[in-house]
Amino acid sequence: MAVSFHQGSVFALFDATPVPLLTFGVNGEVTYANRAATVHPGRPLEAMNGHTVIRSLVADATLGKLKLPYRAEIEVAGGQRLSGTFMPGPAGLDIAFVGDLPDSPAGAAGGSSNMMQLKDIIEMLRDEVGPHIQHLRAQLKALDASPANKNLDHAALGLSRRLQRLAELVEVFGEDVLRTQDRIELPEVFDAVRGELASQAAELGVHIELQLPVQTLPPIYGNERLIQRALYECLDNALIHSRKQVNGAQSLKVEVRFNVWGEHVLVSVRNQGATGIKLSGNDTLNPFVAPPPKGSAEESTVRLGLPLVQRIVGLHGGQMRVSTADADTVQVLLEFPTGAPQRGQKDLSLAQAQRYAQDLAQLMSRRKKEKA
Amino acid sequence: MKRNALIVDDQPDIRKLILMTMESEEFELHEADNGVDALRIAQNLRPAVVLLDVMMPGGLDGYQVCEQIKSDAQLKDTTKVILLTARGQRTDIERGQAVGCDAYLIKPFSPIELLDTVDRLVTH
Repeated sequence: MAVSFHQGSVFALFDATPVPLLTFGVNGEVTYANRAATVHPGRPLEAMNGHTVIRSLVADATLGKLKLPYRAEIEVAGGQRLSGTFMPGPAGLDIAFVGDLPDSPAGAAGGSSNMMQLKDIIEMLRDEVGPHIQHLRAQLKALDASPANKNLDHAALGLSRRLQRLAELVEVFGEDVLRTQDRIELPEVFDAVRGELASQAAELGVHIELQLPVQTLPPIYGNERLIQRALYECLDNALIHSRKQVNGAQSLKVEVRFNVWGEHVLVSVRNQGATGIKLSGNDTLNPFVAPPPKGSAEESTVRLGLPLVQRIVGLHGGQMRVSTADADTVQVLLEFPTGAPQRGQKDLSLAQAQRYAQDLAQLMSRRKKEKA
Repeated sequence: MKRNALIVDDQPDIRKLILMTMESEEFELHEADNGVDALRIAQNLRPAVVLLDVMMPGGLDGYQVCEQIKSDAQLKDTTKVILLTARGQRTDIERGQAVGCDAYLIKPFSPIELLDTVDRLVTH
């Protein structure tokens, strides 16, 4: 059956392909690279474009000296190797290179369905940073004409915060992130977060209230810096969205409550600002679930905050829930298992057994003396 | 009459090794695999010594159990607490001292070192 492809659709299909796809002209230079090729961490576009080996390979294929398809492993940036197949290209004498599907998905740490791939993170990086850099540049341009220093500060701050979030996000999808087992007392960590956000809360006119249970909170074990990050994201979102939902000088409150539930610590972050204030029918305080309007400045924060907090909580064996407490109030609930993680610490047991074996003779001799 | 010793660790093989080391006519040995049970047993038996793992899953970790033993009027003077832990950083040791532990052994620890510590604290 003859099919007439539309060029735009074909490019869109290529971009939807998860593996790098590049085409080369007879001179060995890249004539097309799909999206997966442009965002690939090995930067095959730069590494392969016009490279001597590629030039020679394409020339041989064009002259019929090399039979296609031809499998090869190409060294790309950062010492990485990209395996794939050279095959006849879709246009003229072009030769195409199609990368293999990776053996395992990127970010093998989680293995769950909510696992994010590196390409998604890079895509986010582009979406996140691009508009803010543009904003910053616009502010910089305005400097000559007006005292725009404050705006410049805000733009720079916004950019830096988003970059930080992205860096954290990339990190928490890495494999080694939970090697540390800090003993974490959540109220202490929360105090640090509250201190960090104190000026922002004051600026927004939002009061942060902490409620602790009567009994001592058991500690949790994990990565203290990441737990602090998760609490920061929750509180930051609660602050921003409290003020977003209620205009004017109305005094608002974010309530953070710690509780013990069996062998879990529950952290509830709740936008109490709207309690008692009648909101219009469409207003709901939903800091993570309901995204703000497409393209708005807050959208990116929400999109980043959710996977970051979910991942951090999940890494610590806990879970995150967002629930509507009543018509006006939505709370984010984080649940962490208390105490150390269940151990399958074979290494430690082995080390301990070896230590015993070393001293066994001495121990036996001691026993003999005691009996004697 | 034998005195009681309580061994608390969530890892059964570690408990077994400690039991083997401590087996003697001097102590009646008891075990617990979590902090809550450890505290309950300690309050009932008033052991002469508690060998207490720091990092345990569940409601109470070793520091908290130690703190509660040392704030219990009936236990604080008679029950010695030896914390056993893989966490050997200075802050961890300081935390152990802050909750009143009598000794602090870092895993993997020598059985001889363990016996010497028990001897030093309890026997003499």
